[in-house]
Amino acid sequence: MLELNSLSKKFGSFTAVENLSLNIEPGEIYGFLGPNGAGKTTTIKVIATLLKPTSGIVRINDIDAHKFPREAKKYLSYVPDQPFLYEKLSGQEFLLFVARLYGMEKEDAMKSVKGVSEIFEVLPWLNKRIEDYSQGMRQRLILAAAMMHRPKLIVIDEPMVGLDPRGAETFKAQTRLAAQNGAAVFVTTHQLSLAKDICTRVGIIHKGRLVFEGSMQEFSGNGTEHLEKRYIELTS
Amino acid sequence: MLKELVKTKLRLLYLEGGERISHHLLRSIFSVITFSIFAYFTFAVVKFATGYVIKEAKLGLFLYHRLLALSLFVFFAIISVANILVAFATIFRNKEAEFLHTLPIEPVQIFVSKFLDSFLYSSALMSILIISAVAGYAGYFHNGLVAILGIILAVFPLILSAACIGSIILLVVLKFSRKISVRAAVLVVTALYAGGTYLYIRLNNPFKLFTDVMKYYPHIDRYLGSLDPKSDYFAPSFWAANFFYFATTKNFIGAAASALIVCAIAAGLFVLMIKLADKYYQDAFWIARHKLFERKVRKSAASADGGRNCRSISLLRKDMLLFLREPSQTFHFTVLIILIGIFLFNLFAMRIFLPDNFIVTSAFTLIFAFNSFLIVSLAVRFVYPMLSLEGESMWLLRSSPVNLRRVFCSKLLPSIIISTLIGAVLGYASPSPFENFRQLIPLSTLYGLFGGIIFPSVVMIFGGVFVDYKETDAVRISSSHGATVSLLVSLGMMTILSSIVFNQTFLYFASRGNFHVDLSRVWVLGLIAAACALLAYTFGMKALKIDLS
Repeated sequence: MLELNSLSKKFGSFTAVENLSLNIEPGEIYGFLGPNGAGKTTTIKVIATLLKPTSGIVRINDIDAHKFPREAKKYLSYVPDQPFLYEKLSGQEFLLFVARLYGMEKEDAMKSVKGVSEIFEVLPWLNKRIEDYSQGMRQRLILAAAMMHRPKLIVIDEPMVGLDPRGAETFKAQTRLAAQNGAAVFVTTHQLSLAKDICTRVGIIHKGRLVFEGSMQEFSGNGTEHLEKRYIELTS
Repeated sequence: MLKELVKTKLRLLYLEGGERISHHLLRSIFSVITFSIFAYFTFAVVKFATGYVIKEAKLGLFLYHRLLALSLFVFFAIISVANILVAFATIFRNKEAEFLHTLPIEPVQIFVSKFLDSFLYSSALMSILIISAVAGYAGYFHNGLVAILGIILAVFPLILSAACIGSIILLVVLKFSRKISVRAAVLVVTALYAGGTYLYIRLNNPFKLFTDVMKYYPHIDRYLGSLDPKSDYFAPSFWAANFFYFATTKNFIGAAASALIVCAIAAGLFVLMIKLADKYYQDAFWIARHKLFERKVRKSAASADGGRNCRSISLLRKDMLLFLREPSQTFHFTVLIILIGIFLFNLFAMRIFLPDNFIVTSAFTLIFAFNSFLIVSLAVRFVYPMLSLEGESMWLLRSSPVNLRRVFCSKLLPSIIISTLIGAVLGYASPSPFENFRQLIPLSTLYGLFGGIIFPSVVMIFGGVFVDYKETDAVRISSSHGATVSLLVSLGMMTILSSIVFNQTFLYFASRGNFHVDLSRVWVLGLIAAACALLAYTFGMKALKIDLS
């Protein structure tokens, strides 16, 4: 579903991402880990077509995302770490707006809005303006917007920011469900426990290079303590 | 999709406008009063100037409309430059644009929606100014229909053309900045702009045209189009002025043809812009994002390797570093300083010999008013956004053991020092084009100096009243509703100061330099400056202490 082929991104003489190749299949939840400044956000912005790679190709559902961005984005949902929301719109208006931009008919869009709102527990807040939402409520809303059109690839940058334990559990459950329904999920996080909970495969990026890639079991071995040691070993 | 985008944008505009009025009633009433005074003042000035030029100076209808064409050209150039700056902030570096680019929408549709956004954002003041001016013009000729048709068929297409040119230039600059650096591309465009404007003004020498037209006296109301340089035909402002000439002289075919040309130019430029956006916008967006993200990535990588300790950086140094590291700030500041430099050079090189005392005093007052306008522009662009720009880092200031008074002073004092310096230098240079100018230097320098305190302070008052901690872009903050109000109030004060200067210097010029210029009342200006600074302090501190959501 997502293929990164020899992807590099340079800013002048500085290389943010170097020769990165990945392949994520439908149903997989891929955890993309790495320290600050390692190249995670650059990679994610290149996948979301917000940046153009210096070299290499990003394919979403076999479509070259930088040659045919609009076609590729039909299958993509992107949740940034600091999402943009129209403060003056209500939650429902925002979700409907996003649904319509994904080409959903009004009736389907309404059904979908109701469905995701129930799942992410934003229903009671739906008619309130977004400016009145708490940080966690905003995160729930943006996750709801991302799941609404049943994307084939979900790219999420730091999903747990602002979520309370209940919201975090909902997110994990929905991510697993989306993967079970055939979506590929690409998620960056600093929380190794989250990666352990939901990811089927992880990649670790350090100074722009992929220094580890393997199944969660290969990475974690004997538990969380080992996970942290391994992570520090790989990124120091 | 475009329909959905535009519908949502209009709804947001309505919601934000409605909320602004209901939540900040006093502020809204004050804005409406300011806008109304400004509009009425423009109306009255244009009506008076039209009467003066036609009845008193007896320049005739043709020459009057050629002066109108020149003024419209200046407006046209200002709107297009303003649109380049606002369009970059709105179409390329804005969070909403980034969000829309992650959705399956045609880039050109995003471009159109954001272009309308930036067009509405940057052209509001100019629109009020031009509409009031057209009303003043039509008021003189007692022809309301000309005003309505002129606004719809000549002025609006003219503003649209200017905005389209701004966006076209921006697209081309970004597209070519892949091959040459952004700085080089901007320099080329600036040189082209300056060259084009210089060439236009040189080809349209009003003194030569005046001499040529006067050869036909007393038939100077006739259409003397054969005297126009052919290069004029390419300027939409020329056709807009022609529309007014023909409509006023009841030549409806001529008026319709001129309106058709202005509308065709606007439509042509709009289509060209859309075609270019369709071809280049996605690429230009990537280039812009690359440039913007580059600094962030480098900084992030540097901090991962152990960044510098922020605590050691003083407030002043922090503001200075942030200013110097923001290319749009430094670039715009440099351009304004270069403009001031060119103006100063011209002042020292120019010699004005005019027979009429009224015109000599007016010329001196105009130079003085232009000095003040330069300081006001600097203040609105750089001082107004200072408080709002604290935005996302406000939590740090509010939660640290920092005296907020010190935070405020670190913003206002350097601004005042820089603008008083510029004001004093401009004031010193202003009298030099005139005969027997030495006696005017102390007066003019003192006025420039106090102007340097008054204008940034007035602008800072409104920067505090209309503070918006959610907007992070300096260009957008300085083109916001509050910035427009601060500009209008400053222009009002500038007019009052200029009329005082006119009064104080008229007798001096009438006596050919023998009259002693009275400086004994300058302390009043000092008092006004102190009051403005105090008000700026009060409102600025209030803004720094508001509850953060």
